[in-house]
Amino acid sequence: MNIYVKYENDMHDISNLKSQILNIEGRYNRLSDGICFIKTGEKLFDDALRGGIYGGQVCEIVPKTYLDEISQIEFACSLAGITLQQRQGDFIIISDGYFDNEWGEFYPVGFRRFGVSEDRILIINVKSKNEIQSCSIEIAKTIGIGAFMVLTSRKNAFDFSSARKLQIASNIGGTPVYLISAYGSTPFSPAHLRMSLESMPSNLPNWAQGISNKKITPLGFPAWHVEILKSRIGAIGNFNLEFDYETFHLRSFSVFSNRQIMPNGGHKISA
Amino acid sequence: MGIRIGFGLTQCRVICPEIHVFEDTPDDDYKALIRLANWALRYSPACSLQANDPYYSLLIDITGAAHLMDGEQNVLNDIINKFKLINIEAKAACADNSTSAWAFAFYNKNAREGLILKGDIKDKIDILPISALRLEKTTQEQLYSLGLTRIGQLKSLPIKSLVKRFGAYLVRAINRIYGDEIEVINPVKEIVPDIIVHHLNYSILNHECLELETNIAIDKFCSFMKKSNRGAKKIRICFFRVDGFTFEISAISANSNFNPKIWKQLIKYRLETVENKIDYGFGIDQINIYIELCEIIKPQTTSLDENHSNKLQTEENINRLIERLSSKIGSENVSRFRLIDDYVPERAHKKQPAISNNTNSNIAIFKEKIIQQNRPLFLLKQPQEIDVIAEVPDGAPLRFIYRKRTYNVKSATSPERIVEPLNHRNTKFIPINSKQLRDYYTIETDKGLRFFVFRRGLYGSATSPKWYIHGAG
Repeated sequence: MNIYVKYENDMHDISNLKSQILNIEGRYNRLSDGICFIKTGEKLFDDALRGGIYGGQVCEIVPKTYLDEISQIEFACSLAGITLQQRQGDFIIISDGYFDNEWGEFYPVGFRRFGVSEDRILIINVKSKNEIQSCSIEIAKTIGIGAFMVLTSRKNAFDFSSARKLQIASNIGGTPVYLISAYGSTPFSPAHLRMSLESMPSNLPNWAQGISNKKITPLGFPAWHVEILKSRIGAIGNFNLEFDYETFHLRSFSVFSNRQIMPNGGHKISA
Repeated sequence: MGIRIGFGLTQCRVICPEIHVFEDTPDDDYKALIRLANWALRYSPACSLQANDPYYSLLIDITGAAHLMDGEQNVLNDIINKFKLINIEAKAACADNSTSAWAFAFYNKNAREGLILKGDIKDKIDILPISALRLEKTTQEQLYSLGLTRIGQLKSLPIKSLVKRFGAYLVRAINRIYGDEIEVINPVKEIVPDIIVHHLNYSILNHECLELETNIAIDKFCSFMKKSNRGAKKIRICFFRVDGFTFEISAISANSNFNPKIWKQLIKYRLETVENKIDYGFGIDQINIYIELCEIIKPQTTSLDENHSNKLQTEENINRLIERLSSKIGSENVSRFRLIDDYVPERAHKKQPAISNNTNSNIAIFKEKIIQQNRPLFLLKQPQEIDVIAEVPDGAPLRFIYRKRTYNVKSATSPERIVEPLNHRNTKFIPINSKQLRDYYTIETDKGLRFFVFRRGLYGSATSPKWYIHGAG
């Protein structure tokens, strides 16, 4: 009997310890049951999103210009990379072939800089609008997926009802869904979050701050100008963000005209 | 009616003036014979065809399969009756070896009712005509000219002289018909060791019944696998129609199992995708499940660690998802990457169906930081040539034109030199040509777009180097 009580106490202690560790790490911050968010690493950006990227919600990313298509995928991969640092499961990419035709096929080693191992990537190629809708919903409602990215070039790949279905499916699955459209989205889309972005010249790496007078400067981390167009519970705003390959998180910055970092990370002009 | 092969058209019209004439299409005949051979797999998995005009025939090896239809006579009767239903007058014979069975089917009148030959049949073979040996026409004519018309006459002749005059094939044909030499048959479909046969008492004519009966067959198959403690990974289901047609569907599971729920779900998806294409004709009366890939299931232990058990559950969910998607859109559209130990970017990876579950990322070269950080997200299938202004001899591009658009380069990485693969295993003693060198740069434009470009060759060599774009992102 004594042993049993002791065991119960131990279990209680362990579960307390677990919850304390989770609180310290701040990984799975639950606002309410079934909803968790993933911190991106940039405090101001996270604050604007009320905590971070939400699991079980659709996040639309649209380009500002045609050439920003690649940048939006890069940004989505960086978000997925951050997500996969904090979640188990695979990174599923569903594509209708447009980006493949335009820019080539996904290259697995290229994902490593975003912290995504290629054995966690699952690529789904679809041909028709119906396939992209049904497969996306099927994937989004599966429990245990790390991150899910939908790449589509079709203007009406997700109309109101199918976008709503996708939103509900992602609620069931609890996976963050990154919906990337080459054409932007309809104004009545039920997505939780919508961002538009354009690429920015990268910042100089720390070790190269003094050599900015060269014609060709060393390459820094990829950077984007992100505008939150719509956020269900957060705020809208503009951010200059870059993805740190070393720590796999986003950070904001602002630059002078000579491309040197402003003091304090340039928080003054962020939203 | 009296019309036989070899008659002229006029001769035929004398016998039957209302005769319909069509052009001979051997290709169509061959296709029809293949279709019938596939259909005949309902009797045995070993079925081959002979399309030597005019001897169109099917050879079915019913060794060990006859008892499923209560004996050989029933098999033959079933074959003849089923062929009658589709207006084909078939002759069938069953013997100890395929060559003699073929000979009796063609040269015995009783073959129309299904002829079974048991015991010592050498006397019966002796009286068969020489054409039953399926010899070449010239050989046959030579034998006839010598007065040799029956197989028994050849048996008494010395082998050496037969080989000398007519070649070894004749002796082999004689040996085969007497069963002294085995004729290897070439089956139309690969023979799988495990087949589940589900006979139906009625003909299926709609999707609901098809799904129901398929589920019953899957239950049979799963209980069979469970008994032998094996899990199936790939199965093929063949539906046999009454009127001589067949159609197939296949399903692959992400991991070997004998769980009927999983297989039923997979088959349901496959049937839904082909629902509109299925032609039931006069109905489906048999379902065969061929187990193409299976393995012994090892006992698994459950983990007390919460994280580990969550991980297992996650893996299980993803496996099921892969199965569902593969069934829906085809396994070739659901893929994973497999890395290959090669520095050349286009040779370093391979896409393969996720269902095959064979990934290997533990390769040393991809752990190098320079490779991890400098590889693009998208790689073009073929590097495309670009016009570049670059510093000589080994500077990064300053400006380039790609798809009629000019890009100004702001930042770049230092070059990464890769030697193109040689077609020799041992490259130690082969001098490297400057043409085989690629200097890769990851460049960023003034707008922040990233490209993966390379220079092929070196400045100062006999031919000027060319620049290519190989990736983006």
